[in-house]
Amino acid sequence: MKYKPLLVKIMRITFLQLAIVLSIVGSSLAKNGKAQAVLKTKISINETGTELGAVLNKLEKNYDINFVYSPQLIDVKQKVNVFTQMRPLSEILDQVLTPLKLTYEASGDVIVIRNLNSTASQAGQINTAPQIMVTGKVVDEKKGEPLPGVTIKIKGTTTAVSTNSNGVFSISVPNAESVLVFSFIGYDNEERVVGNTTIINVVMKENQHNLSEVLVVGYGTQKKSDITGSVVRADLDSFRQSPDVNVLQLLQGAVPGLNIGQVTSAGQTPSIQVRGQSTISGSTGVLIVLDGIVYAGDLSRLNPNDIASIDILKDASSKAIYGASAANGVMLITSKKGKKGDKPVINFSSSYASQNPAQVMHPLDRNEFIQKVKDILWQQAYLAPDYLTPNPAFNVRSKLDATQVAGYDDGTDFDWYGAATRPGFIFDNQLSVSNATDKTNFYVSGGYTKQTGFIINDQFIRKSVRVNLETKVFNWLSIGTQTFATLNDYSGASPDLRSIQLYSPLNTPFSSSGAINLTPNGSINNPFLGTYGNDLDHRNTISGNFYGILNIPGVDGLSYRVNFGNNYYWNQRYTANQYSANFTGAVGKSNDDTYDYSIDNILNYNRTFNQVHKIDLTLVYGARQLEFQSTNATGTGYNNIALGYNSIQQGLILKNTSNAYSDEYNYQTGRLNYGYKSKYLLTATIRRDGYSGFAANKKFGLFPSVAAAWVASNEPFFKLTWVDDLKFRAGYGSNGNLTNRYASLATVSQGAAYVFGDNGATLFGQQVTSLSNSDLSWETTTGINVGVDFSFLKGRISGTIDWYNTNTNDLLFNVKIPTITGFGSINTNVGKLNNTGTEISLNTVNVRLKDFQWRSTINFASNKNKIVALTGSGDLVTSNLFIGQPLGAIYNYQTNGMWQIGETPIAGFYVGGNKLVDQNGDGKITSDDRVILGHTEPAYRLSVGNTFSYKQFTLFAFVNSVQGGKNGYLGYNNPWSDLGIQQGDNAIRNNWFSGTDYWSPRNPGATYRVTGSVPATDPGLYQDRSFIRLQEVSLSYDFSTRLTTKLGLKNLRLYISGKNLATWTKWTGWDPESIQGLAYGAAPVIKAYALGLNVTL
Amino acid sequence: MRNIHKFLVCTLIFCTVSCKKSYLDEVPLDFASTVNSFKTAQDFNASIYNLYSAVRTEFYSSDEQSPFDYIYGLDLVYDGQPSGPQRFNDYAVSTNPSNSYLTSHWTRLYKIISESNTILSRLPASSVTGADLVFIQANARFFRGFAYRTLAYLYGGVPLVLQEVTSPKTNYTRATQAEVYAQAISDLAFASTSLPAINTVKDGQVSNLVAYHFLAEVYLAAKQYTNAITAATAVISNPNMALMNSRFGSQSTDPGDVYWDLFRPKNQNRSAGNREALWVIQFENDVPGGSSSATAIAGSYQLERQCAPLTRDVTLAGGKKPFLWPVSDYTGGRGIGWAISTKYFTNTIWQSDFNNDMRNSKYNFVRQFTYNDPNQPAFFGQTISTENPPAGVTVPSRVFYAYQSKCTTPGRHPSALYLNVTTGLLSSAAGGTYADQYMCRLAETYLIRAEAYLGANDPGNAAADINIVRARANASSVLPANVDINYILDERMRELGIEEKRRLTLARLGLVYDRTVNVAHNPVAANVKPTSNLWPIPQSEIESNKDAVLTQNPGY
Repeated sequence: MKYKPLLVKIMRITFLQLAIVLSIVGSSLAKNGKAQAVLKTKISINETGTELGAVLNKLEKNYDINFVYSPQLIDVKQKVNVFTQMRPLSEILDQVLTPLKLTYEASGDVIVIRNLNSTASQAGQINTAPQIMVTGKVVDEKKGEPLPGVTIKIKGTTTAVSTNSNGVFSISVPNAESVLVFSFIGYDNEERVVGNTTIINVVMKENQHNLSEVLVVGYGTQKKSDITGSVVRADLDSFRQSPDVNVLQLLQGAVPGLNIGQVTSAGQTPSIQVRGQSTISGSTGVLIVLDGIVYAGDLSRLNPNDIASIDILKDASSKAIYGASAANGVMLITSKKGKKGDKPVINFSSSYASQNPAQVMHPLDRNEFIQKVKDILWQQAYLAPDYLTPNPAFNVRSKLDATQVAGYDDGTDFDWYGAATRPGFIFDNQLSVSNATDKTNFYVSGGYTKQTGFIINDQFIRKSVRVNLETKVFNWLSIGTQTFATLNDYSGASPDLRSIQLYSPLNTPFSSSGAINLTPNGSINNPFLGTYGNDLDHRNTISGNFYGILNIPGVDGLSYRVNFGNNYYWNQRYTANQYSANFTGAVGKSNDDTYDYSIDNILNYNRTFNQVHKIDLTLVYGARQLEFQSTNATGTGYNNIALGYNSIQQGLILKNTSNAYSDEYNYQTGRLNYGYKSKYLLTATIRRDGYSGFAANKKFGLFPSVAAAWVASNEPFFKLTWVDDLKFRAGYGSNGNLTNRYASLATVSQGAAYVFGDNGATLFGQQVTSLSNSDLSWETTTGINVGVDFSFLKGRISGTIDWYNTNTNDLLFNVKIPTITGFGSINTNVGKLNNTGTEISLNTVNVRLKDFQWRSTINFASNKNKIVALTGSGDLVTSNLFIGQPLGAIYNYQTNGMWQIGETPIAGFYVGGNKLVDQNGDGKITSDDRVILGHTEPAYRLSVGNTFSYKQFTLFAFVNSVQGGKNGYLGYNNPWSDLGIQQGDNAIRNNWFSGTDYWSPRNPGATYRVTGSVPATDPGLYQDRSFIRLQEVSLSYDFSTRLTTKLGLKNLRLYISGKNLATWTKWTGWDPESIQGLAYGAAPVIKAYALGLNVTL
Repeated sequence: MRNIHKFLVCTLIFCTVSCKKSYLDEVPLDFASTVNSFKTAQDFNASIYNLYSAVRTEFYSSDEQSPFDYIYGLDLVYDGQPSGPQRFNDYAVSTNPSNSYLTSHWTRLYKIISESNTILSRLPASSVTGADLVFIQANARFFRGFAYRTLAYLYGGVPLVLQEVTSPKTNYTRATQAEVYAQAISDLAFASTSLPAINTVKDGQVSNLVAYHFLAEVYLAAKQYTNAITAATAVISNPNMALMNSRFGSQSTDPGDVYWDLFRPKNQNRSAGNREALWVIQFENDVPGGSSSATAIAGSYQLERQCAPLTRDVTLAGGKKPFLWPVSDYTGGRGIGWAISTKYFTNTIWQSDFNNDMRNSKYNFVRQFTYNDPNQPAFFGQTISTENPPAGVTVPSRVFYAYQSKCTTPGRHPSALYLNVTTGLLSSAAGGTYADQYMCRLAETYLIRAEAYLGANDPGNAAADINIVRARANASSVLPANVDINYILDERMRELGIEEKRRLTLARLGLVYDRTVNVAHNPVAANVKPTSNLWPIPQSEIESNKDAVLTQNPGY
């Protein structure tokens, strides 16, 4: 019941929004027809003796016009003559139709043609002849594209028609009071009273709840309404304006249960986790499937602009299709394809973003640094008894590091950190062309992204190209491909940030003559040395997925698809620096490559029988192999390093290494979806997985699952009219988590060991480095998921609630064993871990007026994990595993203030250091005094996104928050964690961050102990990482169609946006989410402002 | 029905597409496995070379701290920068069982045992026979005995493991110290009769005499004095062995003496004419497997860094700093003054023969320092002494104290370390001791036998052995009546000094507390107790050995 107060809070938010929503219901307005601009369209045509029908077709084809007429009433075979150059359409119609005794009426781009006398006669016959001919065109609200297949029904009757391929319909209605109901899957129903108009054009709005959305579910797709598991499509569009270079950044906080980490360097890929940690030391990687093929690369290798959708499989039943690799969640990424249109869509976008730290931190400046030295030496620098009065005999100069005395004397105050940083930027350019015809669709794109980070030489450049193509060769055969190439460039060596932060403002990197100081403080090399020389870091990718789809002739609904996916990654890491290797110069050239291929044979049978029984059966047989190899050559000792890494052989000492590994997978999967009248849905899945990394006795694993759903709102007895959709789901299944490759083998490492005699030869040795475990098995995560999907009030409120409970058995863990064995640990299956959680996703349309809309998205996720059982008996203390506690339990000493002046610390502890709580009261601090202080997992994550649209303006604001609750989401934050550099001389010599709350006689209530001496036990400090962050704000303006038409554009959008604009937290240091506190070497999380432009031709 | 047939045919075709069975066999590509690594004599020799490397790592080169746990906090040196858990300035901190600082010794020594056991357990099933088999067995048992001997001195009774461990085991219990000594004796005795003769092994390889030397030492620990005398005599009486009595080697024409020659670069191995060396730990600069580098200090034996003073910070009364630093001369290279010699080490033990004992000569125990900064001509070339320091300079202090020159190689640092050849200025990567190191040499065997004679109530022979060592150093003879254990320990200080793994000797004798506190009056080491003689069993080992109790040593 721990979460009760929280739930109450959530419900309060819900009710507030509900109230807002209710107050605005019914404000939806029908749009009036457009002015008859179409009649003014300038037309050129030259036809002699042509049939009327052909002329009209020609006009339709060339000028976006739709003619509506009844072939029974109008003879289109009549021959006509027409010749005109750039005259308005009305003139031409008059010229052609009048002689034929025809008239016309226009609305939007629809023109209705009638017999000249029929209008009058119909008007006169209203009461006697129950036929009014109504025509019109139905288009989509967002894209303005015609919607074919929309059903138009006369309310209260069974009479219905549907729109043709141009979105045009015509229907006869009995009277002016008739009401037409327009309905189309995925769109809100629209109703229109016929009245005295005969042309009704309708703009249809997409459903907010969008149950007809087609989601990718693994080896196939499914309509959202048919899904029985927990599958979520990420809302990428809201975040497209954000200054991000990695697609995962678009997902941060946007999907409940999908946890994306922070980044602190250019081009970095954030961490991902689905629904908490279900393993201890097994792989925690989310399985990424790109266009149906398992993708082993880094996501920075994908151009976010090429991605159409991302679907996440969260629960055991939906993940089961990926069996032994799925336990940590599955992310299905789909790249874009061409959409049908009258002409190709050309899209260009460009943006520029600034990059500055979200939190400004600075090492101590000169005065603070000198004070720090006095504070470390407080017993000498100040007078007893209270040590608040400076000791006049104390000379701080004599205590300074020898290399810093000159700087002390001449007033040096060098800003190392300032010299190592500068404002960065992101410059992003994207161009794409796409289109689709009945037979072929294509998407071709190119992108160029350049990001420079806040630290000098922190750089990322991505160049990418993509071609997606699919074509129907025959009616029964389609072939296609998704291919891309990405060249990522991370070249450039940044200064050593840790050393930058350690260097005293009394030292300088350059001598007064301008020469570089190699080791300004005599112990740490100049951190800028690394920035000299050459540093090349290329990470390249080519990927091609080639597929064929065979619709088996003669069997309706049976198709066979083969995917042949190939990824090739190759990385080049070349360095040359004259200062490396003790200033003798070092160069290195490292090349590695990874090639993987997948072959999937997918047989699918999809058919509905008697419009009642819907069957979708998928069978997969596949294999995958991945091969890695690397070659590494280094040299040191260069008289002339000018040729750098291209002439390694000039070095005095040369070394070569090479490495390789390979993985093989072989699997079979079957999935059956059965639906009865769209009310009762069942999914059963089974997967058999084989993996080379499994131990000899455990090569194959079997992973079954089953799930069912009930669509209550589709029941005839369901009468709540305010409920659009209501679906209950439940699923149960098991997934695996792979062992690491070679983890079950006893390994013997070999290497240069010894040289006997002076000038002797190197002898190679061998050492057993791990124990074998021939029974090592995958982890099995078995779980239940129940959920409800709902949509109320015509989509004004919609959402999803999921609750899950999973148990991971046979936890993979590298268990610590006594080193008496000769080994520190062994890979084994140790026990059982439980994860339970709740996820809520809520979308509301708070205001829907003609010009103003306000929509909100709220995501909430909580997860709690607990170790249920461990192998053998009791806790594994050395491995930090405690039964009944979360994985991230913190077992350490409890601190209780500081030893103060006048107190006598116990042996091994000092005044100005932490007092540790003697839990067992034996008068000593021993390992028995450790207790569980809390845990590292958060209690819940909550994000709120709001979108406001006013006319052509759209404002999006997104607040993300992670909260720890009681003793949760703790992070280690200790400025002295790097013991060696903050003790003794080093503490005097080295710097730390300004604002560090350290003990001194003036500051007895400090957070951190005094440095210089290290106590017998130094547990450090854990801090609450909870935070609330204003993560995204974007404001965009779409120029009016009038203007864009003039410019010959389809769409033109300008936007500004900001990222990580403000963070509220109690954490001290860089950033709670990146868990960078006061320790050295950390880089900041970036705050960015962006300006962008998006043009569609 | 036709459709169903088609469907079935498709399914059938589909299901018969399959991979070969061997597709999922896991083949390591860049490492070997135990299955195929213990077949031939060559394989086993590779394991033995690794054992040499493991010993060098544990006692010399693992890092800048842990090899020196064998000398800090005792009667020899004390911490020049007391601040952290290392260097035994405060035993309450350094020997906290939860600190990982001492755990690494336990782990590395047990790794030597584990690798030796793997060799011994896998030999019978291999193709190795005859002389190869004996050689490999003798080596494996030597290293295992050597490791057990070290563990027994440091921790007392420890678990005895004599077979290869192939599955996790978490229920070890401690054997008694006597049982561990018995195991070490058994292993070393086997090695002493089976290892090759010293004149047949390669430089740096262990011979039967090395086994005898350590066998004698463990017999001492087990108080089997007669056996100790016999084993030591096997070394001393071997015709291939002799104390070096005249100048030799790489710098024999430089000013110096024969004791100084023992520690110059390239002078330790028998091929250099050295007949005193028993077991020489090999260092080779910038060669794979050589564990010494001119491009980084890591991996080298950092004795110079520890034991030479930080002359950079010698500040005269007027505020002048007359030393250039670090310089490859008698100021001590890139010493940083962490291991300050105790006054007992620099002065007390030399009193009787201060001027005539070669081991206290200006070449060997450096007390005179010459100002070496050419930019300060007012000082350049002047010599100051620790015995009569200039005003403003404290002796001993981290910046100025007498030290043994065997920790450094004046003028002979690897050439890549020089920033300036004229002034001898070294780069910050210096600090290693760029010479091979004696794990044991004949002079120590004499002192072991002296200790055995003393234990056997034969002070006459004890004095005779000590006097052989003293005579080489031109020191006066000691009378049998004056020989007691403290005298022998003092003599070991004079002869071996920082070369000795002092903690092992004092712990073996149970004298860590007495020598540190009562004899040498170590001015820094705090909280030394009689129970400090043994180190604590690492807390992490107690915790991970969860199915049995590893009893902690008293006092922790």
